[in-house]
Amino acid sequence: MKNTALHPNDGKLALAHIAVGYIALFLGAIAGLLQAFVRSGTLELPAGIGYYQLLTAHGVLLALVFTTFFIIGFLYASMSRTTGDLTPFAKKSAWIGFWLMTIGTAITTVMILLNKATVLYTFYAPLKASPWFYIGLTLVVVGSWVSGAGMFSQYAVWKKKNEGKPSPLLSFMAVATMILWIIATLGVAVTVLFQFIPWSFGLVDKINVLLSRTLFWYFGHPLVYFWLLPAYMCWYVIIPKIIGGKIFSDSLARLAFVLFVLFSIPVGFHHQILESGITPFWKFLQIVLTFMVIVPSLMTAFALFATFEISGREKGASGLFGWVKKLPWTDVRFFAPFMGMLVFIPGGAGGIINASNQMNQVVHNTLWVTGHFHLTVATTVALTFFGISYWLVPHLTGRTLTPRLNKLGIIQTVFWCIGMFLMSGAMHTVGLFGAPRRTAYTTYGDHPQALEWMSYQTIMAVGGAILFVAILMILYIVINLAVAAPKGTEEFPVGEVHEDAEKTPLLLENWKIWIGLSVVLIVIAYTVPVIDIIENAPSSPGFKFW
Amino acid sequence: MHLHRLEKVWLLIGIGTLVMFLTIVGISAFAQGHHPPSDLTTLDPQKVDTTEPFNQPGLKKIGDNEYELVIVSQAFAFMPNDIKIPEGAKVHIIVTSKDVVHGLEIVGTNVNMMVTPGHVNSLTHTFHKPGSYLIICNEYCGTGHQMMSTKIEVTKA
Amino acid sequence: MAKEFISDKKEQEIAQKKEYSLFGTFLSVLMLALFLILSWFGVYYLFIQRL
Repeated sequence: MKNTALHPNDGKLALAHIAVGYIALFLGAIAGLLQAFVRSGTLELPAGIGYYQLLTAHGVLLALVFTTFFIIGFLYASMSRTTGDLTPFAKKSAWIGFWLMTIGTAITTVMILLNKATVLYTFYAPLKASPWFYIGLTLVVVGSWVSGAGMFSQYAVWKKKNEGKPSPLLSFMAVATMILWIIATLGVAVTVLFQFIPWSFGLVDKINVLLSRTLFWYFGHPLVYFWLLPAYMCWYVIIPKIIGGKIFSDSLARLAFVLFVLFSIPVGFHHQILESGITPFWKFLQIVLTFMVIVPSLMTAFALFATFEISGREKGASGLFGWVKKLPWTDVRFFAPFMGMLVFIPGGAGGIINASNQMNQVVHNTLWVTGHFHLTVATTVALTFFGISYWLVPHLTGRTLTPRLNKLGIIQTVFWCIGMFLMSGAMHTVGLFGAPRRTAYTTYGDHPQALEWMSYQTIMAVGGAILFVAILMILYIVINLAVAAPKGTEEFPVGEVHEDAEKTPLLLENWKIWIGLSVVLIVIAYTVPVIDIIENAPSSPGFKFW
Repeated sequence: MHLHRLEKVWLLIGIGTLVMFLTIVGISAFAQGHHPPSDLTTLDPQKVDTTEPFNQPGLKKIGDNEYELVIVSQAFAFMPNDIKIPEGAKVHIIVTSKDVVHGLEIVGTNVNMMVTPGHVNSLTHTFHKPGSYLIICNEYCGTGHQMMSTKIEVTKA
Repeated sequence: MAKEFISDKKEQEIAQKKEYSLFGTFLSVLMLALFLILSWFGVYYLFIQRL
């Protein structure tokens, strides 16, 4: 496969997305740092800025904006790298999508800063924000759809030219990720377009709260897989090349992605386990489906360790764990995503606990949950995205990752892990004691149970401060790679399949079957309870309590 | 599709573990009645004050050391305030919201439920140990969310 | 691996076996499973304690 730079136009497109992503990361991180200090009682916010306003900004900018922009940039770069220069249609779609998403982000952010949308990034009704907040979010989602259309057409054009051949693995995965995203965002689009926008404009008085929550979580869980799958792309395809090995199995990697498309959507009720109006049967059914979506991650764990072990053995490693020493620990392109993988073990363990039906009563809406997704999205996914940036940004700007920046990246990763160990560790522990998430500093009138939490909240602030230093480091590195690092050619690493691996069955690429099955599962899991909710759940007027 | 022998064993162990987890929580929920709170009762969220039993929030004795505790939540308080019950009391908690979504959590217990306007939610808990239990709202409900709390005093029998 | 130089089928099998010794991988994922099980039962124990 060619290893020249991407076509400059494609490169510019990917860079624009990544740039907006990192700007959002910076703004969101400032909000995060301030929150950590407020929560520990060490800081009072000046000038009428509210804790919950910051929390809204933090969630929207990091969970929605940083991830979506970075992902679309990375997916387009991957498609251009593996299926050739983008077609005019793909390029046009991508740019239209980019501007829609950017304008949407700007509108939403302004509404949050004006304190007209302090509803947190989950915007639960009947808290009612300015309609422009919802319109901004709609533009982000619609923009991502237009981008998705560009990717699908690029993929279709390649398929037509290469009939009978399996598509390049990275492009297959990019397409699977976008299919998942589009099916998932239909839910949030329906609730925002048909419920929130008419209601916030005052066209209707009331909103069906339970329906809006159900549609939100229909989207909310696959959302986390939309973050995770690009990280898996890096682990399955990029990392083998960086460590000098081969992809363990092309077909099993594709199978894992297909399983995600099937099982990551009909599972939203596991975010609503403690909610009225949904019967225990339907909750449990979706919990069983939730457990199915763990299986592709179990497959992934095996495939990754196997990639490491086989490549280590081919380099002469012996003994059970000799291959560990053969891994390129001083290469940040490996080290950062690897730490992400390692953190996914406690992250996944916590996720299984959260989804375990009544066990959710122990942890629901406590800081445990905040700790959980700071491991999964804010460490596993974030460190992998940083790991991608170390080579993707210089590849796109025609520069190189210097040994100095590489070393700084390693230090950044270590800082991130230490900061997160302190912050997330304290959150998990104090969450089990009952400390609530999404709550400003309070001692509840010096109640002894709440006073026990205080030292943990201080540890959280210390961890948060270390994380902020790490954020400044990654921004320094990324800006350097974009504008200052020495000119040269940085490799876009794409792994090759092991020669002993079997041929990829074309069935895996039959999207009609997989999308069809996905729809069937969604219909089974949601039809009865949603009809019940539409018929029985009362509607409520809106409130603005901020 | 070809799977390495050890990968087959791994998937069997992994899936077996997941099935074990599901079986344990499934039996505990469906056979022993430890369902997560899933009340199906609804009411008009704008008429909470005139709807039974929420027109009279408070503690009501319904049996031998058994109580019904009716709670109305609204930004940013729970009604009633400061509840006293004897040690070992079995309490059926029934709650709804007069405005936005709240959460009801009794710190250090399994009492944790979403309180959605228009819906009733309920859980039963037995207070085995005496002491002061903090009841807090654990779902963001507005700028005063962190003040929304009350207490249950469990007195020595 | 230079597969084409191995003519004898038996030899090829031995070579493949050697290549696919994945016991390190297997042990690693078993440790992962152990971690999942221990943390799950830890929280399950808390749930039972708080009943």
